[in-house]
Amino acid sequence: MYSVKIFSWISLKNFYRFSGWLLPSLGILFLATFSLGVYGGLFVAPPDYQQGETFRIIYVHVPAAFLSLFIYTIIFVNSVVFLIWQVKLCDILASVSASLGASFTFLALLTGALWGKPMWGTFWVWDARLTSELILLFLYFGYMGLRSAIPSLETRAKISALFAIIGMIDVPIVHFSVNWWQTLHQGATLSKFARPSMATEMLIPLLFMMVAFFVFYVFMVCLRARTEILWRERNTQWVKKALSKVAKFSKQDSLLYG
Amino acid sequence: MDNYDVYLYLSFGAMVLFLLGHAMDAFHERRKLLRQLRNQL
Repeated sequence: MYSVKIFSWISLKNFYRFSGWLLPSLGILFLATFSLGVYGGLFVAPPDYQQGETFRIIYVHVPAAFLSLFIYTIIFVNSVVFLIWQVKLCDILASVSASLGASFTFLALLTGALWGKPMWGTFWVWDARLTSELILLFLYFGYMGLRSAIPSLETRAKISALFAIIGMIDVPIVHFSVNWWQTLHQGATLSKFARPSMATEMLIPLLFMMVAFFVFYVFMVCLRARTEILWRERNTQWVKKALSKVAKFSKQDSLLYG
Repeated sequence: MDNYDVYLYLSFGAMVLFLLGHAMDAFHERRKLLRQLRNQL
């Protein structure tokens, strides 16, 4: 009974309307947190006593690395839900998350390398954390490649969901690699159970940047999912009605209409 | 340490490029699809 209600709420049409309503607020929230994070990170936080100005790379590296793991977990959860209950929206959310996850993973690796050169003296070492993060990037590429290689929508959704579930094994490895192995990479800066090892004036801009990256991810997922929903549902009555309504009022493209 | 500031600029530059690139691509895709669907009406 309840599951039927939940599934009707998460129908593509309802998600399309809800995300259309959410997008402007997400955009404003992103701009606000991103501006505060960049300003705080570059101008308010004091330079590190050992690393100097270079430590500010943390404001890009840590949020990107956090999202690289978080997005894969979201893909995993959506894949499990899709395989059990066949919720189409979950397949769409997983598919549109993949390119964002790959980008954030690449950004984490790139900024890590740029930080590694001045601190470790090298751009890259085959360290457990770096190697497992690189494997995560290949998992994203594999997931995206698999999706684009299978033409049938249903087969594509099922096989890519299985792939994502198997690949999930890498996420705890990336996260715990600094504890399980002797690595050059430092341990967690932020932990749920311990006090942060950073000064407050350095920590607050980092939290703003993490929120900004997260909001950007949600914004982009909504935007891309709406495009995908329009394409998949193009022959349904509600999409035709929504399109004709826009065509009637404006010759211009409306980006965010509900 | 000051000589290494270039890595900081590169990191922030890469971030801006990534965020802008994603946003522009998503809006472009959406405009393209809307135009295509509207022409089919």
